[in-house]
Amino acid sequence: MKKSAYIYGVLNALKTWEYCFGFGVIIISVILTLVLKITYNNIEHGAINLFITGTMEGNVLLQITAPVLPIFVCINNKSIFACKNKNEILTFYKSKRVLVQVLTNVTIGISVFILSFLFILFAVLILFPGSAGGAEQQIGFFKELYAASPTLFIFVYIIHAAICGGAYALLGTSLKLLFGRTDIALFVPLVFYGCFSRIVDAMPIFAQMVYYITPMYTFDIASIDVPLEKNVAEIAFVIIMGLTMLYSSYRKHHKLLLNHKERIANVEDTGAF
Amino acid sequence: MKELLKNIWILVCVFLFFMGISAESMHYLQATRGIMPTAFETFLLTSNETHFILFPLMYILLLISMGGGIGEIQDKLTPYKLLKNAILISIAYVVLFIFANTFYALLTTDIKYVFSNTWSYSSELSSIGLSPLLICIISILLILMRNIFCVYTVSLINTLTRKRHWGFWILFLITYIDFSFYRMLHIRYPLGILPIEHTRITYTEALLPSTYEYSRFPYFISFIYWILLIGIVLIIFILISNRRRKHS
Repeated sequence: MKKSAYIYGVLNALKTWEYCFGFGVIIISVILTLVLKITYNNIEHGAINLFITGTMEGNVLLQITAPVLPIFVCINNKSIFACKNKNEILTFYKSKRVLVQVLTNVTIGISVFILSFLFILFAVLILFPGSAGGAEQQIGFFKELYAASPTLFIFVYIIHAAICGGAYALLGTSLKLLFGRTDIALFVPLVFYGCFSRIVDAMPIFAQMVYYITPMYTFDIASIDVPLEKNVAEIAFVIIMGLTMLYSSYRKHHKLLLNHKERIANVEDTGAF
Repeated sequence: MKELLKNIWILVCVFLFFMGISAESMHYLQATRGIMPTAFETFLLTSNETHFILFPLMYILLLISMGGGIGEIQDKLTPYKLLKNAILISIAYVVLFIFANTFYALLTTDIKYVFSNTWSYSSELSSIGLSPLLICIISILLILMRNIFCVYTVSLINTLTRKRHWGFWILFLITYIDFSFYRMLHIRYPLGILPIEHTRITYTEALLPSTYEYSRFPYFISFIYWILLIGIVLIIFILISNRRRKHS
């Protein structure tokens, strides 16, 4: 049976070292956080509590690498990131499968969080069955949901992480298409996430204006002083930026393709290039 | 270095980020101390703050290394050439840091007061007993050496794996260890083994706050620490390059 390019791309990415590494970083960081927290802090051994403790703010490695992970895991996907220069991207555009490849990368970015979080959830459910009381750490804007239904909270939490992963994968892929450089695609979103707020803070009036959309806590749903609307606005801003760059890249390459076609037509008509 | 100069936009971004960080430090000093800090004090607040060193300054190092072509795959293993490249990138980083800090101080503070070599408030830094300029020089050297080590290690990992982006994970690892080591293992007093302790000018506390019994070890130990680390990476590089040369 012939597989579609989308499924083929996703399945291929799952087998790469980069995907395994990204998946491993999440799992190892959670295990490390949990082991040390259980050893020294004596936290309650409830599955949901352990899951939250392991994946939330106590997990520094996950917090600092979260914007780079969804892009890193699709970097060896033999499509957009395989293009080494602008000419190869132009050739890639000619194949008219850009949208499928972007969707593939976004799916891979989403999947790394969903798969790893589900893996952790199942592991803690098997090892420590049952839920023990309330979470010891503060849960930000979803605390009412957590109080009402911890299971639903976990579901929303995983979806939230997946959406963030997808948004940053989209931004990274768009950057690659626009600038043609993998390192820009990989690290600019991270620097943007970690440093953009500093520039904004330098200009207090500007900071007030763009407070809601400045990426600072996109992955962090445990911050008590961050409202839900800010988090949603941050994710929306990253997605809009990704889409805008994707469109800019399309326009840029569309023009180049048209010029190329015109030149070929010119050669055919006049014999002069 | 040529690679870095080609990517002017990266240098501009780095400059802006540094300016933003300087502004944040200056606003903090104005808000908490009610003083107009000098350029030296602003620089020291940034370069001595654990959170700044581990997060924004690390992200900026990532950006500038990317612009300097550290992610490029090297056809030939040339340890000394890569060390030179790491030194040049680190110098560019520090120079931009100083320029951005000074530029922001000039924009916001009285020119006569910007380069005043006296402490305008008493703090942990002023209690060291050295002038702000001297402490700034020590801090610049420590940050420079930390960056050389980080960039050189990134080059080593990239060369070993023959892939572009694996080496950058070392920066995340260093940050993670620096941030979490004592906190996670519940170590009460610092052991003097973490890179952050040898980057900061003042005492870096572990789990318990600073006391008179435990003070920062002498600065020359920090210099020796960084030279040793860079030396270890260089030796590993030379051994690997010799081995590969023999095989080829």
